[in-house]
Amino acid sequence: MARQQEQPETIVASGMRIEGELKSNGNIRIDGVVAGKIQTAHDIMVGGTAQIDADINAENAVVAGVVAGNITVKGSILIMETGKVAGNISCANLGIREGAIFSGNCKMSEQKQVDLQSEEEQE
Amino acid sequence: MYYYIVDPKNLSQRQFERVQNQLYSSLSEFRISGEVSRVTALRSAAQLVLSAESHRAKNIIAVGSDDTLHDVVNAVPDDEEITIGFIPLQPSSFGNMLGINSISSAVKTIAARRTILLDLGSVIQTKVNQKTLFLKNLTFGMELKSDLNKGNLYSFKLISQLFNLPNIEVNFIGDRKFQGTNTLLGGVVFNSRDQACGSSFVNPADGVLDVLLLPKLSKYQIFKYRKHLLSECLENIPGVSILHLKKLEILGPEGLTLRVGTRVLAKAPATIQIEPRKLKIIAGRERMF
Repeated sequence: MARQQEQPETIVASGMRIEGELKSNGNIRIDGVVAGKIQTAHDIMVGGTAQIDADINAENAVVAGVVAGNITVKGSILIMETGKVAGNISCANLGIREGAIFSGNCKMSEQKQVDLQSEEEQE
Repeated sequence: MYYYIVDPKNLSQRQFERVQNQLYSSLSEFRISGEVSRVTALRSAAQLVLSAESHRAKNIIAVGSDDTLHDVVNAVPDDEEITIGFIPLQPSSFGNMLGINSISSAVKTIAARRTILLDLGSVIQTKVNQKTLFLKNLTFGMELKSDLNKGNLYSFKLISQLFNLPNIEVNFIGDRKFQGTNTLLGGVVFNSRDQACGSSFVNPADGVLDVLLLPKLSKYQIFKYRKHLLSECLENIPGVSILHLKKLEILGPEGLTLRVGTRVLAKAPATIQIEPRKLKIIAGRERMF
């Protein structure tokens, strides 16, 4: 039966420490400590108590905790007021709330730049 | 040919006679009679499965409790194309999951013969290299005395035991890709379960085990969430980690017991995984997955 179906949410709760490659086919929520690599085809939520020393690959990301590593998403990244990101970001949309800390480079995807250019041309 | 393995465990003689009559009349009514063997102190369910094999039975029906089904599944060899059926003689969570909650509905289901393939979980105790299969879930930690009445949530004895549950520092490896550590009150590795908890993320046909890890809790939290704790609905307790894995290696603490109900299947270090083979089982229309 449905072997390759989408998995439900993976949760790494506060107090849990993980080292290595965390991979999921569903959404991931992290409130604990992760070192290594995080990969999902869906969304990732980095909670306020999370401490991540890892590269992140996801569809969308919301960061309310600490991330030391590169974040690559296809969609959008939102860094919340309590969020701290030390690393490079690659995304299509970026949101940074007041109070957030972001130290690194940001590369927006080609599609977004084309969209911006066409908007400018229309104006 | 149907081969029925009847296990009267946990039933009094009087209760067993009553359900036996009901069983035989239902089997005759639906014309699915076959050979019937009874589990006794001298003949275990595993021995009866061997006997069924020697009779070249392709349909083995476990009649009894969830434990009976567990014993039968463990005794069926890997390479056989045998279909398993289940007739619960007492309230059974596995029966509920399969959409079978009475003898008559179970017999009707077997007569209809709708088979499905279910994942099988296995646990291998590293030190003795002994494999045991499980259909539902494995639990570690959160061990209460077996004579405890879990029905009365305000029982002083129950609450006292819950308050005194030890915390354990668990080390594990998930899918051979990451290592995890956490101080836990316990955890449950689900292959399948009935949906008494209201959530449906545990699917016995999705090819993964669902691992719920319960962190240490304050006494207030233990008291507040004792109902979920006792029913193993851990996802309803805040702070629980949820992982979906094909393989979970529990490295320590050494000697940590892995249980199905109150039955100890293995002790850490142990490997829990999804088996490559699936179980062909007869299920009802109202199955929960």
